[in-house]
Amino acid sequence: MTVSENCAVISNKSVSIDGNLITFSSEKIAHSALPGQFVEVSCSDGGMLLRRPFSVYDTTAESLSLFVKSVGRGTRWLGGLREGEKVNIIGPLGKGFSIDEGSRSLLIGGGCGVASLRLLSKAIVEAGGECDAIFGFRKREEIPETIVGDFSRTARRLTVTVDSGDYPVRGNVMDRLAEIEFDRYGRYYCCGPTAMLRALVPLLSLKTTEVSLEAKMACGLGVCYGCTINTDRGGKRVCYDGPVFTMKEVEWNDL
Amino acid sequence: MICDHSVELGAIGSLASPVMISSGTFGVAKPYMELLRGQPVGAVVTKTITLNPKAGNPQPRIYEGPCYLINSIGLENQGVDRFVDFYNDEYGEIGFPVIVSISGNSVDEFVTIARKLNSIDGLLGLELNLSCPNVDGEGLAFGSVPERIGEVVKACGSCSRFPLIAKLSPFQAIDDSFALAAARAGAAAISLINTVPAMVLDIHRFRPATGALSGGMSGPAVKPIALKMIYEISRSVDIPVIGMGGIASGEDAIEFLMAGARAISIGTMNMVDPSLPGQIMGKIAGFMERHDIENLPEISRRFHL
Ligand SMILES: Cc1cc2nc3c(=O)[nH]c(=O)nc-3n(C[C@H](O)[C@H](O)[C@H](O)COP(=O)(O)OP(=O)(O)OC[C@H]3O[C@@H](n4cnc5c(N)ncnc54)[C@H](O)[C@@H]3O)c2cc1C
Ligand SMILES: Cc1cc2nc3c(=O)[nH]c(=O)nc-3n(C[C@H](O)[C@H](O)[C@H](O)COP(=O)(O)O)c2cc1C
Ligand code: FES
Repeated sequence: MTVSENCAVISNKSVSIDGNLITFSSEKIAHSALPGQFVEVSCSDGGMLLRRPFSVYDTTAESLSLFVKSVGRGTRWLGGLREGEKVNIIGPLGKGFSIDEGSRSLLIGGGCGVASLRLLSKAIVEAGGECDAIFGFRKREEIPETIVGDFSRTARRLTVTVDSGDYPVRGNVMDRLAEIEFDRYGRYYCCGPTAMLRALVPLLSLKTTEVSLEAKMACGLGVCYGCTINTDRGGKRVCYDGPVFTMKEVEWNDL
Repeated sequence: MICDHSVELGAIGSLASPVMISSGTFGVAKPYMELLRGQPVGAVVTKTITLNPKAGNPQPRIYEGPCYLINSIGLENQGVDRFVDFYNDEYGEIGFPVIVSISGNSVDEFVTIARKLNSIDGLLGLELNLSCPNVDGEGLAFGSVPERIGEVVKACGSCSRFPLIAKLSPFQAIDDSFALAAARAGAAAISLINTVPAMVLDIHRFRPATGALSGGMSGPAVKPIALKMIYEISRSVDIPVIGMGGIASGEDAIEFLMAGARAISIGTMNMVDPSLPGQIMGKIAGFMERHDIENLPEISRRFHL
């Protein structure tokens, strides 16, 4: 059930040059959030009209954490929240990932898109499956080491790559995919910039692949039709019918 | 003192609360309904439905500025036939009185939709979204002449079994001619304002910032404009006026009631926080108590220059 909860900041840590891991106290939302679902965070105390949507990065019985990449006014304001400050959060929202018991999965994440894959990786392992992950960032300073560390506990093989600059592996996620037998997996899960997702379509659209999409949202609650995208079943709301869609159903040329 | 929080909306009847939810910002999606459950909502207005399904405008459909929202949804909806077929499944148990918003490109289209809606039982009314920019046979934007508005209201009135609300755009509320035309043609109430036609450009890409050329502006920035229009129009017509445009708090709602609105409607800010109806009613109740006001119309009667 979707609820509105006033959540206090437990911690707000800078984890990369432009990313923060923010942990909020939450019982109700944290308790029911499923992999791939998101929350809508009120930024009204920072002077913003609309809430901002973020994937649920991780949960415990009393907390909810988000990985927030600073891209504008709202995310910068959230990055500056101090311990004890309270914000109103609505969630959990949207339809998340589906999990196949015992399957081998490949997670592909770009930038802050890795956030939506954390609960998923835990759930896959809990369901007796295993997962490998390939994460791409633009440059080394953008790699959130703490978060990569979290994933290294659930992902069997974790590859981190950067588009440019000095790092053990350079290149994008497509380059890394080309180096492995990516056919061996039962399921694929992708979240990241639209350009990355689109590049993956020729390789993965005929497989069991789920993608998590983003759209500018007004309500996030399924009522305004601000976030509609085209699919093979007509217009679908990213906030309500998604954010997770099968790669096959999305009309990629319209995105 | 016992304060009466109900409102009489003329031929529409009485609402348990003066707070309504505006067209395009109410829907039966589960997360929203879960958040809205138990809120003191007098009536909800559906998203505008049209004769045929509409796919709506390309992305992006939402632009947020300081204190305002521009939307270019493009009336995405499934069309009246599907709306009627699924009405009971979708709206049967929502627990709030329902007003259906309709729009057409011609008088005939409005009439056809209104007829089809007669098959639904228990609607509180129909709201005619008269902001249609389409051009009719005579080359006039449909909503640009009061006479045409009068025609639509009259034609729908003679075929619908529900009372009608004429919803005006800010351009139709610049003076009282459209409101008077609607009232004379038999509208039960006037609602205003719809969104303000507006545009934003993306200067780096030499194109509009929304998928469509332009959109409609709503939110707190339009509030003072809406308030003035409601003040003037509520003094011209002798049917109730439902006031909306940028209401974000109980104080805002009281301002609208004081300006002359019989009921108020919330849109943009209720999407951001669906507990707004309760917050507004709490403020109104406290205000009435403090000022010894027994009923809602008394709020505007106390207003003076
Ligand atoms: C379902 C969903 C899950 C998301 N999960 C995360 C997450 O886990 N971590 C994270 O850092 N970000 C996530 N985002 C993106 C995040 O919502 C936006 O970055 C944020 O709303 C920007 O707010 P702002 O005020 O800082 O930026 P603004 O000043 O509003 O805009 C700055 C830039 O961000 C872009 N932008 C704005 N809103 C969105 C949006 N809703 N989606 C995509 N781009 C947007 C704008 O086009 C602009 O280029 C998610 C978005 C969605 C829809
Ligand atoms: C996303 C969105 C969609 C809307 N869709 C409709 C619509 O379909 N029909 C209509 O008559 N008004 C529509 N409106 C206008 C509102 O009903 C209301 O008149 C306007 O937004 C002003 O109120 P507000 O500032 O409280 O939102 C829409 C507004 C928004 C923000
Ligand atoms: S953001 Fe309003 S329907 Fe998706």
